[in-house]
Amino acid sequence: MAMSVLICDDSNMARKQMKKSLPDEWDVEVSFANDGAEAMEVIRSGGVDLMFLDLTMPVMDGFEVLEMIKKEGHKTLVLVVSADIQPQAVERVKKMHALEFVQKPVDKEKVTNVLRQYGLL
Amino acid sequence: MDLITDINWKEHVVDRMDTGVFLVDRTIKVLFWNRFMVMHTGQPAESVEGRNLFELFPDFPRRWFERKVEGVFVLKNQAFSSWEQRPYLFKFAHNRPVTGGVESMYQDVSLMPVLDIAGKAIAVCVSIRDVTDAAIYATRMKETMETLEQEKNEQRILIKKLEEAQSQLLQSEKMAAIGQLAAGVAHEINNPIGFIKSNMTSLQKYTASLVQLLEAYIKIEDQLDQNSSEMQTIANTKDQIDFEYLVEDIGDLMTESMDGVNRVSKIVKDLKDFSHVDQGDWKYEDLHRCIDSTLNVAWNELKYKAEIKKQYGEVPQVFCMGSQLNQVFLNLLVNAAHAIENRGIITITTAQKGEKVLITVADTGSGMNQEQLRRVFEPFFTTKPVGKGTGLGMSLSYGIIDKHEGKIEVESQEGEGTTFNIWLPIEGPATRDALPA
Amino acid sequence: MNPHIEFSEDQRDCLQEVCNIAMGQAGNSLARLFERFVTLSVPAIGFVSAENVETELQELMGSLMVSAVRQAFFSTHGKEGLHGEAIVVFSDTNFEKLVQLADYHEGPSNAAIEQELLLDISNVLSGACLNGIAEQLEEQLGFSAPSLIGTNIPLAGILDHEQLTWEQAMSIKIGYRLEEIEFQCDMLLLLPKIAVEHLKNTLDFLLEDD
Repeated sequence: MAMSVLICDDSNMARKQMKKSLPDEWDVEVSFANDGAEAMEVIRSGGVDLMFLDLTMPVMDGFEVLEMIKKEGHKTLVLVVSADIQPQAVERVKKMHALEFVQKPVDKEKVTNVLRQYGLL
Repeated sequence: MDLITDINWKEHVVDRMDTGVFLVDRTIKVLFWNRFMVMHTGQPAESVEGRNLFELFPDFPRRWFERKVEGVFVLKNQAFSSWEQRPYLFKFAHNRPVTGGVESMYQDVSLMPVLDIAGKAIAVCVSIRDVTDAAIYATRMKETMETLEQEKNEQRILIKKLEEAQSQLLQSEKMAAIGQLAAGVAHEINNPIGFIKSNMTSLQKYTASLVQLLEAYIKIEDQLDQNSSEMQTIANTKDQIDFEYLVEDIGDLMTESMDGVNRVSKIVKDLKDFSHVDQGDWKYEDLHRCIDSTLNVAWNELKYKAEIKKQYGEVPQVFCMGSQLNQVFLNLLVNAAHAIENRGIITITTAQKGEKVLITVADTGSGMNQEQLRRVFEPFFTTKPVGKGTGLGMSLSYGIIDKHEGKIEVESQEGEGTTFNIWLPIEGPATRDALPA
Repeated sequence: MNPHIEFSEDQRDCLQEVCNIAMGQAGNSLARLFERFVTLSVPAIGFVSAENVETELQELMGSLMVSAVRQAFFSTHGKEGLHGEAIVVFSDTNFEKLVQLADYHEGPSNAAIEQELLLDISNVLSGACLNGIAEQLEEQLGFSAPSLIGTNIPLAGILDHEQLTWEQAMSIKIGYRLEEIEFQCDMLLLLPKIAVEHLKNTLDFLLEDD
């Protein structure tokens, strides 16, 4: 069965950029969310295997999403994709059970490497 | 060959620029030192290049410079320092050995990352610009602006004082008008009070006579037929009107009314004395009468605050403007009352001292400190909260006493009280012949 | 009358993301400067009109008394490139504490040292952020030395209404907060109309490229 992937970013361009950076022959079903609150709805409705999550967003930011996923006990794997590249931010999201931190802007090579590293490809 | 590639940039351009240029690595070792730096530090490039900057210049702001350089290396972003916040990086002699005016050269400094082909920062290029002239100009400008601002503030204060003085003048005009009005009213009341008083005196006499007559009648009541209807009527009427109490009360009523009328007539008289329609008239006055009428007028202000002790001596009449002196006494008394926090004593003493009369008003109030004492007669000086006093009362008093060629002195002890001494020449000002009629 | 500047939804979204990434870089620089975590918020892109600049600034920034630093930036492409002014506005900031954190001076804090720090922070923020934007737009920028507009001045004082020669300018507000200490600063990038036209073209190019 194809893996279900959720891309959560408030920027349309960033979402497109993210989708384009996914490996070409990766059999996944991609859905999108505009902000954290929307992402949580998709996750709650079930079956999101992997999420690419932005940190700075209106309504509900990435940190809050991570917290809520942990609290509600969802099995979704999270890759944080962010422009906030402070070492403290990286450390913080890793503590909050994010799988890895990908620096923006993203490209195919970066994303492929990370996915390989965690055996998702 | 291209002209531009022929140029030895380091030796012929950077080295000769009228700007200090030097390069340091991340450990602050000097890599390059241009001629400007040589000329102003007196250190030739050979003895500087390859050495640590802090060894060569121990006075250098080390921690600051290290942080700046580190910042440029890490962030690959230029950094600046302006003469306004940090007048100089190196203490160079200024370029005004003749015109002078500054201690050392004012400097604007920038730190620029020097990158290698891979984009990695390998050195920091520091450039130092001499901005002494601009700095002097800007400093002077700032000083001028500050002076202007200060003058503007002073003017603002002055304008405020003038406004206050104007409102004080309006207030005193108003007071003068009220005074006139009071004098007019007093005059109007004076007549009816006069005949009420004289009528009351007659009435008192008449009622006494009537009571006397009645008592004579009562004495012969025993001789009448006690059962007659006339006798019955008399008894009933006596009962109805409570005759015995009436006879007793009628005398008290008359006496009380007389007292009241006397009081009204005294107040009217004081009001007339105080407001003197003939303001500004020079004549011989009984100062005790002046003080008493002022006390009467100010009584409402004084009665809850102070006990008044009068120690009047033998004092001749003084040639003065009574109504104006009343103003002075009123001021001193009201101020004394205000200086007393709970309850105290105001002592008024008078005495003749040779050709002069001394009037002393002493209170047991909060007193004044040296600064307040020094300024007490200054116009607009007040110890009262804003809006309470105009700060003109004491200066007006000073002016009035001065016009009498007298003297007003003040002694005070903080926490113990204040004493004002007024000296007045008995015969008035020496120039009295020249006084306006 | 110049027609008002208009931005398409795609252009705005694209610029937003560009600013987002640049803001992250600037935040990282600030975090390194103070060794503290910097809280970032979403950049606000808008327009200010000279006519209502005071009220618009007030709505945008919120605080009344501020300290502000101005710095100009210019492109190697001159007037055809990205250029404008960066104004870094500090409010509710404990400068004494900041001077301690910055740790590059000996002795007690004073007004000159605090001002110097303001200039440094502004320089770091505008340098990092604008270089970040420029890099994405494939441009190179130069900067003027930062200059102090004033400390503890009314917000309206940062732009002199009388001196404005434009009708409308683009404003990008990027806020930075330091965790655990009183520090709030907002960088306001102001772009004149000609620079915005250029920016629109560049953004279109980026969007096409995708």
